[in-house]
Amino acid sequence: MFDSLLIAFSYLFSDAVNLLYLTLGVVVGILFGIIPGLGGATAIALLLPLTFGMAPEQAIILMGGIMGAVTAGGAVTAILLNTPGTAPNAATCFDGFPLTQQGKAGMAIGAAATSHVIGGIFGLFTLTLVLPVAKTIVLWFGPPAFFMLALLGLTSLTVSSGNMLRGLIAACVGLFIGFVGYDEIGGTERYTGGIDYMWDGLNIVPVLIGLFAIAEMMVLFVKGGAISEAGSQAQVRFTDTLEGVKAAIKNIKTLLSGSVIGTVIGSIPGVGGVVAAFLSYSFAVQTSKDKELFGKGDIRGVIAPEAANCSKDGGSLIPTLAFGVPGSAEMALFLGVLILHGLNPGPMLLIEREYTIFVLILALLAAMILSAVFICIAAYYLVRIAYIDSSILIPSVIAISLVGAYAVHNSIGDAFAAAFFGLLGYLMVRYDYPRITLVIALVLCSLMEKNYTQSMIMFGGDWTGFFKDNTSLVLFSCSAIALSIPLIQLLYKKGKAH
Amino acid sequence: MEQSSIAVSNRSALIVALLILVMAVWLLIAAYDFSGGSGVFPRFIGWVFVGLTLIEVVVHLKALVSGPAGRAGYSASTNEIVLKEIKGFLWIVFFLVAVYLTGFMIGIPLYIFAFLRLSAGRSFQQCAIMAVAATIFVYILFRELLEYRLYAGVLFGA
Repeated sequence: MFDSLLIAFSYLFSDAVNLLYLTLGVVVGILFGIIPGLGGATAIALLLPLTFGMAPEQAIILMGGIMGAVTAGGAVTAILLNTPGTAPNAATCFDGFPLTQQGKAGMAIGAAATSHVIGGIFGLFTLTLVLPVAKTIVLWFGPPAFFMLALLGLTSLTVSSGNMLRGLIAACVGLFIGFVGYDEIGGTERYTGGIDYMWDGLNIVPVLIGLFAIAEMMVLFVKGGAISEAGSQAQVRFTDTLEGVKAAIKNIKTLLSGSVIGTVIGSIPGVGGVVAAFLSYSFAVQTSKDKELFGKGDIRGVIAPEAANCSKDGGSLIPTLAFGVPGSAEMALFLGVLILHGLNPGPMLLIEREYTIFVLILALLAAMILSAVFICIAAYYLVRIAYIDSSILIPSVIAISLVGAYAVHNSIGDAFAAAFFGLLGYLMVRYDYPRITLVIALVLCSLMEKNYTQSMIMFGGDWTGFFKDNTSLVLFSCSAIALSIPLIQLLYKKGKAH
Repeated sequence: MEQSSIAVSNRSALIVALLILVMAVWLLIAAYDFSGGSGVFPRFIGWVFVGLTLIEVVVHLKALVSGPAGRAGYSASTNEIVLKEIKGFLWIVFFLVAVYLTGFMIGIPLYIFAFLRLSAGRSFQQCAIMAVAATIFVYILFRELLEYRLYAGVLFGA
C-alpha cells in the first residue's frame, strides 16, 4: 500500500501537466460551486469530453480537482450571498450570512476553508484506512450479493431523493436507457428502433451532458435574469480570514464531530451531503451549552456543516470504489469517467490499480487545500460571478456542451442525443422526477443485469435463491427497510392527524 | 434534492404519468420479443416499471379528483413559462440545425450572435464579441489543444 502511495505521489507532483489539470479542476470546481444551481455534477459532465484523450490517472486528477473544490466554492455564496452554491452548503447559510451582516465575512470564509481542509483530510484518511478492509470484504460478494448491493444503492438514493415513487420510476427509465444497444450475451438488438447510431448503446457522455449541463441551462433560461439576486457589499480581507482559521482550530471538537458525521453519512449510498451537513449542524447545536447563539452568527454554525461537507467525499468514495455503487450524482458521474477510461470500479480496481486510487486521494487532498487557499484570497472577487446575467452564460455553455458531446466519438448523433437528454432532464426537473436516480441506474445497469443473469443461472431460474444467500438476504432486508421508512413516516403522520 | 420551482398542475402531472405508463407498457411488450437471455432482466424491470407508473397515475387521479380547484387550473403565468420553454428548446434546435448544415465553426458564432441579439436583446457589439470569443475558445480548446476534429457541416463536406 505504501509503495502505491509513493508511486501516486510522484505521478501527481512530478509532472507539470498533471498539476495543471489539478489546478484547472480546482478553478472549474470553485466557479461551478459558486454559481448556484450548477454544482459538481454539471462541472464533471461538462469537462468529461475533455478527458477522452488523457491517461485515466490524468482524468482522475482533473475530476478530483473539481470534486475537492466544489463545496469550497459553494460555501462562498452561502456565506456572502445567503444563497448556497451547492445543496449541501445550505446549512452554512444559517450562521454564515449573519456573520457577513456583522462584518465578519472574512472570518466565516477562513473558518469554512479550514473546516474544508481538516474535514477533507479526515474523510480521505478514513478512506485510506477502510479500503484495504473493503478489499477483503468485497471478495466475499458473489453475483446475488452484488445485485442486491446495487439495488440497495439505488433504493436508498431513491428514498433520499424526496419522492420515492418518482425516484423509482426515474431509476427504471435509467435502466431501460442502459438496455439500449446490441446485447452480446443474448445476441439481440434491444430498443434500437433500427437506428444504426443506437447499435452500440447510448454513449454515457452525451446523456450526462444533456441531463445536467443542458438541462440546467434550460432552467436558467426559463428563470431568466441574473443567476443570484441577493446582494452583499461585504469586504473579505485576508487578515480576517486568519481569524477564521484560528476560530476553527479553537473549536476543534465541533470540527472533528462534523468530520466524523460527514464521513459516516457519506459512506451510506444515497444519503448524501445535504443530510450530512444538516445533521452535523444540528449535532453542534444540540451539544452546545449556548444553543441560543446559533442562527445569529455563531462561527461553529459554519465549521460544523463545512467539515461534514468536505469529509463526506472520502466516505462516499468507499462504496463507489470498492463496490462500484455510487452514492451521489457526482459520484455517479465520476464512475462514468472511470468507465469511459476502461476502469471498472470494484474489487479488481482495488487489487490491480491501487496506485490509481491513491492518485485520486492525493488529487482530492491537494484540491481541498488549494481551493481553501483560493477562496480565502479571492472570495470577494469570485462571488461576483454569481451576478452574471444568465443570458450570457446560456448560449456559451450550450455550445461548449454540444461540442463536447460531439467530440468524444466524432459523432454528430451524440450532439443530437445530448440535446434530447437536455430536454428529458429539463422535463424531469419540471415535473419533480429526480435525475440522480436515473443516472445512477444507468451507471449501474450493466452491473445489475450481469449479476442478475449470473444469479438466475446459479439458481437454475429460481428467484428465491436470492433469499437463500445470506449476504444477499441481509442487503435485500436493508433495501426493504430503506423503502419502508417513508411509508412508516406517512402512516405515523396520518395516525397522529387522526 | 432537486425540485422544480415551477408549479405543476395536477392535470399536466397526470398527463405526464400517463405518457410514462404508455412508454413502460411498450418497453415491456418489446422485451418479450428479445431472444435468449437478453429479455430476462428487461422483462423483470418492465413489470416493476409498469406497476410503479400505475401507482403514480392513481395518485394523480386521486389528487385531481380531491385536490383544490386552483391547482388544476392553467394560469397565464403557466402559459408564459410554457412559451419560454418552447423558445428555449427552439434555440437548441436552431443551434443543432446550424451545426448540422454549416459545422461548429460557423454554427457557434451564428447561434451565440442570434441568441444574444434576439433573445437577450444585447447590443450588436456585445453579441459580436461574445460570438467571436466563444468560437475562438472552442477552436483553441478542442481543435488545437485536444486535437479533436470539429464537424464541418453537410454543406461543407462533412
